[in-house]
Amino acid sequence: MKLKLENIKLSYPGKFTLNADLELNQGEFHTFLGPSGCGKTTLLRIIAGFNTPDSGHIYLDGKDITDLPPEKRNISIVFQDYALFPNMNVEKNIGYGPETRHWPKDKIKARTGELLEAVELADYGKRKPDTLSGGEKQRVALARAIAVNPELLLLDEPLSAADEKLKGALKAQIIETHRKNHLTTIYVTHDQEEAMTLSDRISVFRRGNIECTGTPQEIYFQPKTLYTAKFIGQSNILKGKVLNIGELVEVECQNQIFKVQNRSYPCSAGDQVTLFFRPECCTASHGNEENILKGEITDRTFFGSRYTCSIKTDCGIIKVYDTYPFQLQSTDCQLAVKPENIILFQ
Amino acid sequence: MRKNKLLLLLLFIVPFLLLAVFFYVPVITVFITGFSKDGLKAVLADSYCRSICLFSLKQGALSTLLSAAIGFPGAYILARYSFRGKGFLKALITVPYVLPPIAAVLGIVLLIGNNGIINRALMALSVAEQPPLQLLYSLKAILIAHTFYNIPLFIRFVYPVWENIPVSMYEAGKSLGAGRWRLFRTVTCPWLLCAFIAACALIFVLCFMSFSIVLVLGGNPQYSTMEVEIYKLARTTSNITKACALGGIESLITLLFISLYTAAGHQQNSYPLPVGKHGTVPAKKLSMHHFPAIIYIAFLVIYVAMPMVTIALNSFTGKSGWGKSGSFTLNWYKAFTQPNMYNPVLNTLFIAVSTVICAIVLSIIISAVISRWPKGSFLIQIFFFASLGISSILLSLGFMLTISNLGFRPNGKLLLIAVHTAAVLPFTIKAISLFYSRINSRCIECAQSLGAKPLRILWTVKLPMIKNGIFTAGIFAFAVSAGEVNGALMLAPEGFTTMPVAIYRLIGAYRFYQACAMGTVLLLICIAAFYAIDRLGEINL
Repeated sequence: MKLKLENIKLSYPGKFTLNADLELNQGEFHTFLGPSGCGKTTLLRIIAGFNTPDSGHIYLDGKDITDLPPEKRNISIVFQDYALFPNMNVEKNIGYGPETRHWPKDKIKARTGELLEAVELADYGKRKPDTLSGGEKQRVALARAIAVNPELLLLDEPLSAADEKLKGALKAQIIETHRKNHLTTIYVTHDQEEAMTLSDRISVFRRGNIECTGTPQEIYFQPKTLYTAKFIGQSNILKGKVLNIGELVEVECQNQIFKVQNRSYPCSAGDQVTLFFRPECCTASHGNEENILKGEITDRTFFGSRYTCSIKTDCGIIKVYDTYPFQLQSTDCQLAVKPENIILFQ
Repeated sequence: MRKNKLLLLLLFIVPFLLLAVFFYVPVITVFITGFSKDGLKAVLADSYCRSICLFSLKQGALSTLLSAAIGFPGAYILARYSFRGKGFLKALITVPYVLPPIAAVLGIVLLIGNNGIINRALMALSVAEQPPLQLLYSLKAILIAHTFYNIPLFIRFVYPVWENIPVSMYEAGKSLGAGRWRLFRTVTCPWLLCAFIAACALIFVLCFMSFSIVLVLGGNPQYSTMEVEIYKLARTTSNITKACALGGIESLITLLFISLYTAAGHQQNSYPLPVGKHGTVPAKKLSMHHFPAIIYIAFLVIYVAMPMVTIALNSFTGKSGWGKSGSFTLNWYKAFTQPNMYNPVLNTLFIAVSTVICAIVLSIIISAVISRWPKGSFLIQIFFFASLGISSILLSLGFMLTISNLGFRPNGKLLLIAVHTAAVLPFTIKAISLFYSRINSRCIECAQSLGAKPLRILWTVKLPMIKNGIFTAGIFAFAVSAGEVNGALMLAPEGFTTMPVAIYRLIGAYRFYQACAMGTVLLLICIAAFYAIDRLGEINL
């Protein structure tokens, strides 16, 4: 394993205490995802050495680096505003790390040239940062960060300043850089889409705690906590009562019986529970499935490839995606949710 | 890491210790001596001292009012109009920042003196036998000199604030139905209030503590200020206790106004800046329709430039008088081959360069402290900006007293450097900390994560980023130190004469042309300084 955070704690009096236990594998692209102020950037800064935890240990390749100053950790960071040195040209910026490590001049030059090529800025070596566009700055910052072959690369919301069009190109650059260099990378963002598309695994943060960690698919379809389920994507959440426990759990919700293939919560009959399923898990029913819901569409929003529909049923409003070719009718809608797609929470 | 932090802490303590030893100890000594029973009693019982206190306040208040009243339209014109030569005008009003008062005094004497250019011109026109304007050695002469300095200072203070009032404020007001007058009352005036108060407080302090202007242009005991009286009491009559008491009272008054200046400046900094390229009110093009504005600009240029031009012209004039045939000469410059002329130049350079080094090093450290402890920046500023409210005369007096109490006499040059450093520190700290505060902390963290140690970060990232601030502060410190006369008169060792002191003595000996040559050299130094400052960025007091 590459990085291990062991019982990291940092308290913010009057706010919350940051708690983190996490292990990252070699070459993993890991994302810290959460709303603003939940502690993800603070944890990133603790890993980088800019903040000191109250307790706990950080291991990099098995070596305890908790007390090492940032300059001795060999962990590079790219910030949201790129933080290029304005007094140096692009070449000098990229060569800063190697120069600090006293690499021979010809090696620095070769490495700088190689990275300039890699980020498609070969002719930009002599330009000052203030003459570059946002995307170019970001590429230079990325090149500067990997120039010293860091053991860990930290990216602190590097795309948040970019517009939608630029984001796509920069994301591709980040993925390519990660793959080419096999760098263990931690990426901080509040953008779910970025997290989903870039990451090998995601850690979802909530008020200083890592709520859950998993692959994007796990986080999306099998969230371990209700908070994660609500935070990521759209969701349908219903309150109900457990009736029977057998191969499938039967839950009553406003006179509607749901059969659930429970995998998350050991419940017993009579328990009050919360049911969760994604809109895309609701499909138009042919009449012979489990968990059939009837209702009428109260709202439809067009998103090009699909409609997001709100359907009024006996158990409440259910969100559904109606994909092309569109099948749902405004009245007398019939929906089905497979038992394996419903998750129970306490 | 702990060892590094300890070293850093020690480094941070150094400027505080130095200022404590070289500023607070002498000043407190003056206060203790002055506010002893005898000192205060002697001042309060003396009707002459009381009248001097009142005159100091009066001339300070009048100078401030005049500077603000005359400067206000100038601030408006620079903020709201664009015209050819605007850059030159902005640069010109920077010159008084770095122009030694003794040089200005010399220029004004040559302009408005009985035998000055204006009187000679008026006599030539009216064929009068007596000089029609009797301005020298009067309150009017003091006010002319003070306004020469402080109209530009007021403008420089107020116009950037005026220029940067977000246009959205006016647009919001207009959309709610406000007319021009209401917008001026409800948007412009409140926005300018803090800058106005800060400028007036600073101008009052500078005029209240004015020394060489009052010493030469007041002349008469009736027009003496507390500052001049402290000097006379300490140097001429050796009545140290009374001098200290007077100095103590003076300092309390100035400190009050400095607090006002600092608080107003602090409040001003909290105002939002305009957003985007079109965030401010676009400047109108100045045309012949704006006749009053053109007249004002012409007046300002003449008012600020004339004393300097007069000095320069007179330095090339033979004894037969300027304007007469065959009067051009380089004799006054040739005299610089003599030790009595070139030694003051060398001495001034030595003191000024030393002051620059001390002030810059201390200011960089203090700026680092402020950036690391932003919550304490107000307290730190008060600690270091207190020297704004303490005159060089008083500080020099404090040194003389402390030394006599300790029973040994340190090098007078060292003391002079300390006095000059204390005098320029508020400005150099301001200039450098402005740039320091703009350093992106993420850049420092990036450098750290790329393996750079603190010294390397300082050398490769921080210093290059604040270099303009360092140059601005250094040039400013150099110009102020080169022109400072008060401390030099009090503390300079026997036979060690600086350029301003030499000019003062040459004026006293009525050797005006030689004084002009010396003054022109000083002026050239200052003009080079102001040009460099203008190229690098603005001084933000």
